[in-house]
Amino acid sequence: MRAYILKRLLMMLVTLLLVTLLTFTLMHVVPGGPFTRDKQLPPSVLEALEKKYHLDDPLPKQFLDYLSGLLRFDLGPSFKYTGKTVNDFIESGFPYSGKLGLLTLVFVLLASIPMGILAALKNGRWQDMLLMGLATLGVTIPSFVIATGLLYVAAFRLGWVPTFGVEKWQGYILPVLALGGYSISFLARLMRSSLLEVMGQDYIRTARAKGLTETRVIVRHALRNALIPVVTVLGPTVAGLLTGSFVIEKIFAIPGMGAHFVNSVTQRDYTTIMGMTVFYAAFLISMVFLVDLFYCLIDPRIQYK
Amino acid sequence: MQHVLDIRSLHVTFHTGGGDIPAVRGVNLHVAKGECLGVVGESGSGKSVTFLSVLRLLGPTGKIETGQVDFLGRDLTRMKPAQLRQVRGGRIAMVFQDPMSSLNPLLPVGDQVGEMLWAHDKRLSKADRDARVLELLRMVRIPEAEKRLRGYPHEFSGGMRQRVMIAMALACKPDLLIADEPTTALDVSIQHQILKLLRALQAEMGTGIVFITHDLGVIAQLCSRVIVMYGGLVMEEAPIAELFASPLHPYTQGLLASIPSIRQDKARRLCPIPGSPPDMSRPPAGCPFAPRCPHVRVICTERQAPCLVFSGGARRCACWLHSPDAPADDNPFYGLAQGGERP
Repeated sequence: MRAYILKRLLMMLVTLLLVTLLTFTLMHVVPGGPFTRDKQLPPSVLEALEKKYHLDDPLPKQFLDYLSGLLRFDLGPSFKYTGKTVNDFIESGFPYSGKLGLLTLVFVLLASIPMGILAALKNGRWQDMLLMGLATLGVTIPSFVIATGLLYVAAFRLGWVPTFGVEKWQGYILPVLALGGYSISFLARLMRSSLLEVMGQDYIRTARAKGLTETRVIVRHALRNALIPVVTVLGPTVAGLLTGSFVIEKIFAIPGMGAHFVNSVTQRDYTTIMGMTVFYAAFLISMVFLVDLFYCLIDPRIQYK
Repeated sequence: MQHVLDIRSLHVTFHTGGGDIPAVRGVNLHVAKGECLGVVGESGSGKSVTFLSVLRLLGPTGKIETGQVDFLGRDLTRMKPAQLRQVRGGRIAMVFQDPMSSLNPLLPVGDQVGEMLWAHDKRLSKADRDARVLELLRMVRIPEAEKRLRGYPHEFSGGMRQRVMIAMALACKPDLLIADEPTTALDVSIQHQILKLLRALQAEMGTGIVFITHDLGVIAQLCSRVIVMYGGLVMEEAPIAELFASPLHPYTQGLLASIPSIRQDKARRLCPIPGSPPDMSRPPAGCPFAPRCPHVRVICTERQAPCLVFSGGARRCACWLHSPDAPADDNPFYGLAQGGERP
């Protein structure tokens, strides 16, 4: 087990290195740079700027310099916001994105799994139809449409919650609903189909043949088996929720990380693009790793060597 | 002798998206106390469905349309769920075909056997239950039982898993054990061990056994009486020795002729039954075996033969060949006639 964890950690570093290299390459392939303007800068100014940020160095050297900064957890200065570093962006943005993500995650889990279970147990009946109809809407309607709809009804018309900002706890309600809509629908559908499949397995028939109550058959024999596919997709879902959504954060004016992610790309803010991508990648890889470890706990057939 | 189980004119239909499938079409049979009844038939003959409906384990699409299943005088088809649960596992236990998929992969086998005890006696303490589980695993000859108690199904071989299933089934000392092809998924040598074990346990505990299989050879080793099923109907019933000595139904004759023998003359070839079983989504009007039968007559394709009793009630057979009511002018070579015209 220890050897396995060490191996995985090493693999994670390799993955991260590849992600960094790929992002770096793609970023420099795209025409334009952080100092490209509508109005051309005088060549001397441009040269001075490039010299200041070491953009005149050969690319391999720039990459190695970036890596050495990464080792010291120094993501470099932002090219666009003078005086700010990429670390500042993450430090100021992640608490908001993380808190919103965590709340959404809890809400998603509490809603989607019971929804999926109920739909599976009422397979083909109106409860199933209703829940799966909602889930289909949730998967297909984009989050910004849900967000604007919610804003219009709950905040503007009814005035139950503030329209933007998260100074008050009520401010989190709509963002959580809008951000979680897709994940809830997706996980509820997965939970339903997984449970339905498990309920048709031979060992469920065995459990019934033992004379167990239907509740016990479901709780003890079906649910844990049905959760395995759900846990699989949980890793990427957690990472996605916690690192923030540009759209939701923009609509509800939440000062999270999402905005930096998108703006940095359009502005060719090299260090911010790199920093955000590497941060997200590291987060995602860690979550997938945690999920794999969690597997051991629920499925004895999986053993890591 | 007293009957443990009495199945009377049982009809079971599966209502599927592709139409209704009448899998069991009027089955009558009984199981006497402590006897071992063999039920033989091809896939789709309705043998498993008949006995799954005894404990009402047919799944969401299967439905018992009419008929009675009397267990010690109580009709299981009309029993309330709470009472039925006491019968399931407690009085009638089942062992299924595939021991890998029939055990929950996420629970230690000891827990799964113990759960059977827990389900039927909540007063049993945890320690007593554990002791009894150990005793049961030893009874089915699982080596190093105390170590394997906490093992998971995937750590067991096929034969060992089936032993676990048997231990679980016998945990509450049931009156009847329904074994649905328990050796089909196993190697021949393991098959033999499991049969030996079942025979020994039956002698020890006096449990009635229904042994469902498509293998007449296996039945010969274990059972005293045989039911032959085809197309959702009972074709023939006979004591084991008589069935092998003088099979009455052409289907039984065909089954026996298709068993390979180790002493068999090399020149004599195996005689498989030609054709395939009927499509049960469109059950035939007459005898389901008629299209494959070498003795087929016109009446066979029109009406199912009544089940006639022979040997003072010990045997029965549903075939026009043995029926005095069969029309005398019927052409016995109907099936061989090219045009198939009635003379």
